[in-house]
Amino acid sequence: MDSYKQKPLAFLSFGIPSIAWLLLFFMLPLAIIFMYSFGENVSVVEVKTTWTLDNYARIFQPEIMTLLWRTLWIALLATVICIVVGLPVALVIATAAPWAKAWLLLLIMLPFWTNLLIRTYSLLNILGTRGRLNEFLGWLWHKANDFLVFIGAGDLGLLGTKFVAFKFLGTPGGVVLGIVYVSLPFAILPIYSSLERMDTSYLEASMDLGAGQLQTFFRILVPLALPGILTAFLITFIPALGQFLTPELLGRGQVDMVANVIQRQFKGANDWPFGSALSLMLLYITFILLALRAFADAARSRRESRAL
Amino acid sequence: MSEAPIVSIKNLSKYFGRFAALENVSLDIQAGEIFALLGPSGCGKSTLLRIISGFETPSEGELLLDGEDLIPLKPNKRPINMVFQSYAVFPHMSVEDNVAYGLKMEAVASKDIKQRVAESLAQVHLTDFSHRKPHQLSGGQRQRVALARVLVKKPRLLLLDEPLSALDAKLRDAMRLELVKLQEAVGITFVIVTHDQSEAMAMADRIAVLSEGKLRQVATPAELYQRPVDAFVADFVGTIHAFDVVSVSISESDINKPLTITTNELGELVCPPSIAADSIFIDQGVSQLAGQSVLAVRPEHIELHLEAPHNNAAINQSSHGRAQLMGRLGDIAFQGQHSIVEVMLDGRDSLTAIVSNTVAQTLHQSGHGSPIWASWSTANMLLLPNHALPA
Repeated sequence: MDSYKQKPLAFLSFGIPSIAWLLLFFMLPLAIIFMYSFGENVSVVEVKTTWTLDNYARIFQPEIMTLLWRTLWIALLATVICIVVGLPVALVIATAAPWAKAWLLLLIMLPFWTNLLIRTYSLLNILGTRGRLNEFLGWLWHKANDFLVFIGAGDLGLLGTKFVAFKFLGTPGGVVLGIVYVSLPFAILPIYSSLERMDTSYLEASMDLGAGQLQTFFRILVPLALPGILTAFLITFIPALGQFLTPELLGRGQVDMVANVIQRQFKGANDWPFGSALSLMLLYITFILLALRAFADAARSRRESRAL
Repeated sequence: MSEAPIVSIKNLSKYFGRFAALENVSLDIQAGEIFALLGPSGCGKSTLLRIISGFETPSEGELLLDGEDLIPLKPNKRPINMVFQSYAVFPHMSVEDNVAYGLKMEAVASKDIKQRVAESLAQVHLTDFSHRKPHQLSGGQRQRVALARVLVKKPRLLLLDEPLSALDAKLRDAMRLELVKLQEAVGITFVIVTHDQSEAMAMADRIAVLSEGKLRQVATPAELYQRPVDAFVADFVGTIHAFDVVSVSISESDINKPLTITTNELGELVCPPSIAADSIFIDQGVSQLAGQSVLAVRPEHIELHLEAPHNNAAINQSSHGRAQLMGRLGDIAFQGQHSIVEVMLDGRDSLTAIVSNTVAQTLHQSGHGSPIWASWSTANMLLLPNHALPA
């Protein structure tokens, strides 16, 4: 597979279009953003790069730190929920009969066939105060209340005097729910693939040595699926950090994440330099996370090769 | 063998849908023996092992350990441990932690765990490797970890699934001996699943031969080789050259009288009655022998001559209890201590004979394709039912 080295022309003819594409539409805009982040607004439409650090300094003002912190914990919480929910789902798919496996995977992929915007709007319908979920919870409340009345405990007011609809929209909880909904397939698939490849004799050996199901799960299955779980974490967490649509629609402007503020800098606030600095901040955080992962991998393979 | 068996399997069957993986298998395993389950792949031996370990539930039948029903017990509640074919040594734990795992699950005191793990590692000569991770070990060392990990639990029964199949040839031979010695030292009953007859023969006290889910024969290695119940077993535990029986004349009044057996290739042969498998008389009856049985000879009993044996004073016609065939010299394979010589025959698969290297040398000089005579004593033949001869 190294014959391209002998045929540089063929190599270039295949390589140049994609390289050009990346340079033109990815690296160049990124460079412009980078320049902007050290710039100042000199008029309504003009930004001058003066190599000032003001834009970065402004990130450390309290309201932006609060924003970053909120972004971080919402993304983190959503990611953890995705993994906790995704692991059992992945396990079920990985251990299903071959014919069922194909259908289950299809079900996981199915949401991708619908536009994200439409999916998020449908969530509005479900999560609203008069939405389907509250309708259902209300129905449950009435059934439970009827039951309490039936057994003669109706007067105790155990469930409150009337059903109070949950407020999902415009709350961090709703945004987390929305991000979980969007990201769950991305969390399930890498965990599934690591479980799928796992030799089941490890699990049987654990049982054989006297471990129960739970011990086998936590002591053998989870550690062996760790690379997949780590991938699931990164693949969920990094896009969650930059989530724009979900907080915009489900957060109702009350649960801003960093992407919403960045968008506002470029539009309403017309402060491109600060918007650029914030964008790059997000990029730096992502780089740091990926670098940590790379270092961890390198350290592990170094440990392994040293011992051999 | 008068003692109660440690494992008693009665009329055990396992169906996967309509496929019978095991059919009505009954056998006893004695305490302290090495018992081998031998058969080709798909014969049901692994299913039987998984039923004993608890990973499969039988469809019918009984499984007793020390007289107690095992079937309701989950694998983690059975005093039985298994060495997996892949060893299944946990890759994220050190050697020491792997060995300690089973004891931690039993909630053994940590002080005792340390001591027992150390003892167990010493037993398999891995003391110096206790802090290594599995990926830092060779295949043979990983197998030792798998052994230490189960021996430390002091199980009533140790199951080994194809224990030597993943090792290279030289290590395999060494490990055979070591496993037998280890078993003698710890006194635990071993049940070994293998498809390799030489492995089973070399290690086991007794062997159960399975094919297509059915138990063919349970016997010691020597019995299995010398007194196979049918052509399948005879062929599986060694090489046989089989000739279809056309007719048999047998004295109904005296079963100790010689049999006269006719085959197309060998003509009429007078054979001692002792060559007939027991099942010939029990199951089949003489009337059914023709067409459903074979007369077989093993390569080590075949002698080769460059001249027709009837010209030779020492060897005479079949009436004197010798069979003979003429063919042409085929390939000669040097095996070290002896050589295997191919005798090409017209209209049938060639024979192989095991001869000394000096004989092979003489034959070699006469040249490939030269006429050659094979002869053997009828007393060394086997009269076997062939209903199970593999295709």
